[in-house]
Amino acid sequence: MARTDADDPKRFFHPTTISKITQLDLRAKQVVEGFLSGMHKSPFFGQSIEFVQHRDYVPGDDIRHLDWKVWSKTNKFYIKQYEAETNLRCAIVVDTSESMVYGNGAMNKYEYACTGAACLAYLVVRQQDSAGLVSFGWDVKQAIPPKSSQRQLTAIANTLHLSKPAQKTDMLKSLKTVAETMPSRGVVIVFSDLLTDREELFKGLEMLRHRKQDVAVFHIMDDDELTFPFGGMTKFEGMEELPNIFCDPKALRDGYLEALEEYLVEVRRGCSRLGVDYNLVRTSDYLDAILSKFLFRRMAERKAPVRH
Amino acid sequence: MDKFFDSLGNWISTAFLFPWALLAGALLVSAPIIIHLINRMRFKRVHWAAMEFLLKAQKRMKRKMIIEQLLLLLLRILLMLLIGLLLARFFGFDLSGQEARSTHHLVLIDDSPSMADSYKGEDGQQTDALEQAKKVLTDQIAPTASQATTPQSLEVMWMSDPANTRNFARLNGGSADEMKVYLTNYAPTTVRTDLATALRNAKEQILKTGGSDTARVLHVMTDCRSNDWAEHGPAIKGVVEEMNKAAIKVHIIDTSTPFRKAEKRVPLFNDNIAIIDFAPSKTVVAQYEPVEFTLRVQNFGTSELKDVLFSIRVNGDENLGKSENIASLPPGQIITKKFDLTFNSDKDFNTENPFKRFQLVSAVMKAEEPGGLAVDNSRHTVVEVRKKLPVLVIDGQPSLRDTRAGDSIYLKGHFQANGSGYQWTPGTVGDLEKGELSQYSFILLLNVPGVTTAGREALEKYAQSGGGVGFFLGPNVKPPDYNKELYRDGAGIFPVPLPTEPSPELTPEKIEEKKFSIFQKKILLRDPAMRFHPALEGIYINKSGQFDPKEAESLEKFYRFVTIKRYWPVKRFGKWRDDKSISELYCLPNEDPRSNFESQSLAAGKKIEELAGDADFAKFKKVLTDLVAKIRPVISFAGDLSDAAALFDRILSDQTAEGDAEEALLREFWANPKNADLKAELSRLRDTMKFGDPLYMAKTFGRGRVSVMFTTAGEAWNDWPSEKPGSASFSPLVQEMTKYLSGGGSDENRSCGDVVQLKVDSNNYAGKARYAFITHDGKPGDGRQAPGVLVDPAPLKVGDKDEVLETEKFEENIIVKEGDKEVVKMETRDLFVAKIRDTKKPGVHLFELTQLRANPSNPTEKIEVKEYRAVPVNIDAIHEGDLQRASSDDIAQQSPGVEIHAPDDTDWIDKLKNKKTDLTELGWIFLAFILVLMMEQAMSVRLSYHADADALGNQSPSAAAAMRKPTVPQDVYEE
Repeated sequence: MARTDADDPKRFFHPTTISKITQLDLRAKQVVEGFLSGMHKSPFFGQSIEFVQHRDYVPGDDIRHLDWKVWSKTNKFYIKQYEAETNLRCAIVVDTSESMVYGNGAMNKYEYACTGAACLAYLVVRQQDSAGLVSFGWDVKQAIPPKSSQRQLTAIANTLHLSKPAQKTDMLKSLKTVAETMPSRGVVIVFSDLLTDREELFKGLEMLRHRKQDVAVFHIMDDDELTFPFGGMTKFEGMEELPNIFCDPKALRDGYLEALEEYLVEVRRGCSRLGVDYNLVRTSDYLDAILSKFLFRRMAERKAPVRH
Repeated sequence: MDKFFDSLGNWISTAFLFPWALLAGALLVSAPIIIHLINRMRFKRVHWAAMEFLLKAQKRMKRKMIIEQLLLLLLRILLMLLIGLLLARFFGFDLSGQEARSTHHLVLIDDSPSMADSYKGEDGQQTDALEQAKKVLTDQIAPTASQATTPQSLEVMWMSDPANTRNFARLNGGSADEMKVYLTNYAPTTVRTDLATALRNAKEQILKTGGSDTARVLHVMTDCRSNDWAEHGPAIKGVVEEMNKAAIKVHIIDTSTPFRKAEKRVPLFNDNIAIIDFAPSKTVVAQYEPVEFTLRVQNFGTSELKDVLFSIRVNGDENLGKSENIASLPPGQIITKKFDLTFNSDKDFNTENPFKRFQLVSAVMKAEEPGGLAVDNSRHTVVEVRKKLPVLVIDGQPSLRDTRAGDSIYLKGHFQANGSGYQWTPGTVGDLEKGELSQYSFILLLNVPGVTTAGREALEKYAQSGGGVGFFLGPNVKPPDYNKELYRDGAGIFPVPLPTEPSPELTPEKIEEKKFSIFQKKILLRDPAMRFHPALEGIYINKSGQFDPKEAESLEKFYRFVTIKRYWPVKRFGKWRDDKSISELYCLPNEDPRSNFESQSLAAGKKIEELAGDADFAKFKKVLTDLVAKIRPVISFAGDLSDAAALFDRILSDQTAEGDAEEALLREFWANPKNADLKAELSRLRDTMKFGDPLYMAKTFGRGRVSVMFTTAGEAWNDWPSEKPGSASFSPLVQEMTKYLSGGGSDENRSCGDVVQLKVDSNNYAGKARYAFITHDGKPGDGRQAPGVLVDPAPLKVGDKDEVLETEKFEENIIVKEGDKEVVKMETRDLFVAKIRDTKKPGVHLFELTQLRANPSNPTEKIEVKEYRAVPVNIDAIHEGDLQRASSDDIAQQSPGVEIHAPDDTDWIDKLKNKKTDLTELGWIFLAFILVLMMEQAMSVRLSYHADADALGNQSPSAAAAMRKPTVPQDVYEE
């Protein structure tokens, strides 16, 4: 995976990845439900041209939806129900805290997150849904409301490019802002290393879920962080205002891995408890594969009526 | 402090082959620490995000981490230490048996006769302890030592010939072959050398080679006979300790069979029979005179032998000798065989040729011995056969010489009897001074008043060199002269000081009374042990060397009829009692009244009764009370003490031989240790009651013998020689006396290897001599042990020329009269020494010496008279024949620090390589090294990162799952 020019905001639109997921999009159209309105059926009834069924009028129904033709023939009030078009509003939340800078492979965590975010945004916009971006650190740094215009992509790319990871993470604060600003029933995709206080994290996620947001988390970890492959005396300099440690990492590896496992389990369980789609991603993973897998899984999980 | 560093330095230089490598090792030890420190300095920096887990890990792992890291560090240090020790070639803390200096080996080989102890080796060949010793030297010691890293020299020393050593200066691969060639010339000799002396010689020899930079190892190849260790134990211990001090390492290799085993403390030994003694009763005999020979054979083995036949050969000719058979030879016992031989010079020998007067008499065991030593199955002795043996008789009353009132008449009759072989030579006191006494077989002094100083000197010299002097006392004896010249306060030839007066003259009535009291013996044997005294032996001891009560009684019964009227009563106290050379043979009965002993006897009786009352002695009670009851009637009865003494004899039952059951019972009673005190007390009482004054005494003086009869030889003071039937006992006694007196000088038992030398006064002898040697072992006499087969005697070769004798200074105190005073002066005189050094071969050495005598016709002129002496030399069969071996404990005790090995014990040999067995030669150090290495590896693997999915999975399954999940889901493309 060749690294794109570091100064070009478009580098986040990774061609290979995009080509891979574009294929997927096509498939998604065929598969009924997806992100894009008009391409899939939405499980929600809304304003649309696709008629689904009649039902009896009950007081309180919007009289605009009465089928006057049927009334004229039968003198009974029926409500016409149409399949709502899913005009997906997708908020992509990218962690820009200092810890995201770490990375030993082709991309650091931040770049990986940005690439992933950009690719998904591209996918969403391409399917005429709206994609927005929220980058956060200590607080929400940038927020681009969801739009479906092509320029939105450029805006997103520029924003990601301009955001420099710094500061501590304050997950709760950031997610709270997202929850408040984003309209409900949208999709929130979080790209973060989740190196933050778990309580705050889960609180934030819960807040999103409470507002009926469909939340997916890409938990991005570097390989080093997962395997701790260090040898020799090393001075670990703490990011995000954490203290430094001077140690022989070999000796600490077991303890590190233990603590990591505890953390991962906690995060996974917390997410599954909240109904958050949790994906542990490492920076050496092929992003296209990760996204494809993510999309596939979502398609499989949405057991909506399938129309071929 | 400096001292400490010095000793540390010394220790390091000796404990390590490469001490400098130790320094490197010390540096190496610090390497892990240094690496650790360097690592600390050269650390990496990582800007780390997941610090949270790291902090947690550190919190959790801190203690474990420190311990594990320290352990790893220690393991690495240990590893380095082991490498350092291996490189420095550490010898361990026990530095004994390791040597970096050049080494000098001295191999001391015992070539004594017992080393010929033969047996069948593994190859079926007959071999002996010496061959085994050679084998150990050539097959084990030499090849191993030649492999040593340091220069090795080896010297071979023979115990019998310590002066001629052979030095193999630098051992190499060919040394063993060279040694083999050298060793073929050696076989067991006839010479016994005691181990202590041999070790001392070896010590001196080994110290001659090299200096402080030479290590010395002494290998003693010996057969470890218990004789050597029992007799010379303390001396051996002394030498061994000296050698330990001188840092000489001593190995003893016991080469006799069966091989000594560590688990068996007392090794087995082979059977052996040895002729331990063979000697005539006298060395100078007259022709036709029967000479008694004593053959003593000892069975050193553990089984009885029957009908052992011995051939007695005269000059190798059995026809001139005889055969003697020993019916039974029980294990461990000495059997004595006595027999007579007569030499007929007219027929067989030439008494005119002085050298040919000496007859070699050999006793040879005819029976084949199953094992053991062959060399001790023959033994030689020599007798000089003369036509007549002159006896000098000095009569104190020459005028009464041939009358019954004189002293010599009865003795003369005895000497002139047919076949006595003695030539009666009457002489005077003056003859002692002028004549050369050595020509006489012995000298009799009958009732001689006294001797002059010169006469005394001559007499003493004569007796010293083996002559016999017999005294019969009498009325003419002057006690002051005897005490001054002859007794000389114990230093002279006369055994006791004489009292001033003889016993009082008896009245005729008293004499009559004595004559008729025939129930008591008038002459008593002073001590039962005296039956075996050479002066009485013939009377009491039979041909088998056993006491024969019947034979003794047949003579002793005549003592009842002998009346000793007067004698010189010697007091039975004084320092002569402690003189071991003096034996009181016969004494007179105690003639004191019984009443003198009444109270003592009764008290003793009471004590016996008390003792008999003890419950333990119930079975003896009756016998004892019966006997004790007799004491009172006997002791209260007037009369002499004989009955009372006889009663106590009976009670003690130690000098009687009734042979009845009661006697046996009494002996059993007194044998009990509880009764020892009373027995001693009773014996003293009995002796004082029984024995009166001494009558007949014997003394050994130098090599010579002296006898004293305290009464007359004639009938002046007694009726012993003259009155029948008592006179029947006189002649046998005189015969024994002559045998005793003429038998002086023969008791010398020279062993092979001893230097045979005769010292003669330069005033009386010319400084020249001729030598000859006769033997019966035909092999050329180079000291090697013949295999026991005797062939014809080698023709007597007499030295052609006179050889000049060595001179030795001799200091003597002489008393010189200066005016009235007597002054002691020291005078130095020359002695000529006729010496034969090479006496390795058993046989007889003959000397021809030249005496210088005053010419009777011209006293100023001296004439040369040839004198002949013979000295038999035999192997030391008593010591060498006994093949019993010393127990390992005894050896260990008497030779502290010495290692004992057997020829089949090869473990110790490797030490001779002198390669210090450093740690590199020990398997365990490598094992330890590998173990430590493995532990270090395991530890470092454990403590270091390895991309091991399992390890990751164990610690963090979630991370492992993330890592494992396929990055490209295949099914994406499959559809």
